[in-house]
Amino acid sequence: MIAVMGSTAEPMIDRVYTELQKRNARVTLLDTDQMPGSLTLALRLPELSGSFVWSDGRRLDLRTLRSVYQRVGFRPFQGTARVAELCLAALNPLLNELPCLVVNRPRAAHSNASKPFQAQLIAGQGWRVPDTLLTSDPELAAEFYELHRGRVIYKSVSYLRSQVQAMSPHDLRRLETVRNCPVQLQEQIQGTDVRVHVVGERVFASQIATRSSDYRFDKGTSVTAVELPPELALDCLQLSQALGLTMAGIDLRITPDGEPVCFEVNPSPAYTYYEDRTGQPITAALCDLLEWAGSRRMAA
Amino acid sequence: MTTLFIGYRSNQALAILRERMPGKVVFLDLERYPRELPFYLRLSGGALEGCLFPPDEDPVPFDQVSCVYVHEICISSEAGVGFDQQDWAYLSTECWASLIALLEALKLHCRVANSVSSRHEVESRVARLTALSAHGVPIAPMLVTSHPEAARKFYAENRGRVAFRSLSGEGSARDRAMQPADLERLEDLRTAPVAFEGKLGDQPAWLALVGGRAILCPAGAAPPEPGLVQACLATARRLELELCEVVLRRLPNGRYQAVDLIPFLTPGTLAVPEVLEAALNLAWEGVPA
Repeated sequence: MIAVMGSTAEPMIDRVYTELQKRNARVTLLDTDQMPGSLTLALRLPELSGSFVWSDGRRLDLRTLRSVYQRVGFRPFQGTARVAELCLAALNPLLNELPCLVVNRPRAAHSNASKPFQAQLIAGQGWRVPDTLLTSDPELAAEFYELHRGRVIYKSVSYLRSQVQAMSPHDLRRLETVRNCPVQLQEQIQGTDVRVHVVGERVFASQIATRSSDYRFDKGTSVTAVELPPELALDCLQLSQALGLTMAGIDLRITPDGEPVCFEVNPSPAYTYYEDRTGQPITAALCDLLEWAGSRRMAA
Repeated sequence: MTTLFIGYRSNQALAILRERMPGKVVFLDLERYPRELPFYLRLSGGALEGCLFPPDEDPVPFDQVSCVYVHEICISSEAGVGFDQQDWAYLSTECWASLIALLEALKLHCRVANSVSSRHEVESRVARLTALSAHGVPIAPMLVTSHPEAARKFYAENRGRVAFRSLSGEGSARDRAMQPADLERLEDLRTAPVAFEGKLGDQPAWLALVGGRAILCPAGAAPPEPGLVQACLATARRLELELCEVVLRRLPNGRYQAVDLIPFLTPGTLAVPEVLEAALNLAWEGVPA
């Protein structure tokens, strides 16, 4: 059995579930919008056995799971933020230890909680990352701005979504505010944005044309499928494997002299944006992987 | 070289270690973070450098730090004074993510007790027990559920010797033995999942894990099987816990079971001279292999 776990309000969940149904795969939707009241979990330790039980009496035995695609925690559960916290406290250990393929395990996603921490890991894999300063000292922030002759961007430190912005002389006048909240500054890298999706051992690259520092907020952005040089595709694959990710969305910028610079690795990529614009079969690749893992376990 | 302590003044375990630590000691009081604790971390050309500027102290470059003891990285509500709820939520998450980056960078230079990168795996009792079990440590039977019937069945299987356990945090005032009257209100489970622990009993011993050492407490307790000790050490290694405790329960057959993993040393355990000495020595043992 393949489980698709997350909120049906998320296009990725809906698309993977629909595709697996079309293939007549044995698939169950574990809709987190229905947890914990209408869809309950009974998890036994140390056996790591038990079941999900729907309010109409249907039951999914955890031992029958062969692969899981999960996007847990992106949408609220039934109830308050506290209930969501408790649901995650129950689901994350299960997803970390289930003896089957889980795309992705929560523990592998954790590096994205702190972008400068993840940048350390990425650099440790031999990638170029932008010259980065994390600081709460206004003077050091100003020095960094001068060092890069004003070609600096700022963005959030954590996983919270923020718009990448180019720093302006006006920002220098409000640097005192970084004493209240550390800021991440990066040298501005010239070049072309490329988003790479790794799914198992398959690699899909999209080239992005934009006039903005952050293409996600530019309505004029165009996205086209591109082929990566084989060495770069392999590097992307190895990077996601090094971070323990079966699926990843890697943000690159290719400089005018062809050097790839890595900004970030997203462990839960909202890949449908790219799939819709390029026609790349990312959902199909993910479903292939989930089915393949299931058949491998069956054979074993 | 400097030994760094990061946390709150109210933390007794940190205070015990800080007071007895020889050499230069700097305490970074999270009550004063971030406003009065400026810092920088620079990642440039594959090289990593950083420095902390504690108030009333000389700057502390990362390469001058011999060891870091950090108990928790919750952001003080003091940091949110003057901000509305939405800004505070953003600010506290950003401050927390910055601390993770700082501590992970320090890990390249020195020992960090304890690492924060796997902290999410020790935040809940279920996660801690699952991690122990995954490494072969026998653990107490547990049911995590929001399903009333499953809870009722577990209660019957364990002949009523069942306790409620909070799912998050390091324990809660609501942790208590389940009473027959509780069976009447199991439908409430549908509003939030709960952990139930079976086969209650004495917890006569615990293992203090310090670096690669395991010290049984109290000293006269019956020793656990070597396999259990090795499995506990393997769990601590995987979770990058330099300092932690595994609370043990003894079954009628003489074997031990783990009932929790505490991700630091408690003041009570630091009162054991051998544990305290080992915990202080950690500062001079260098970066773990």
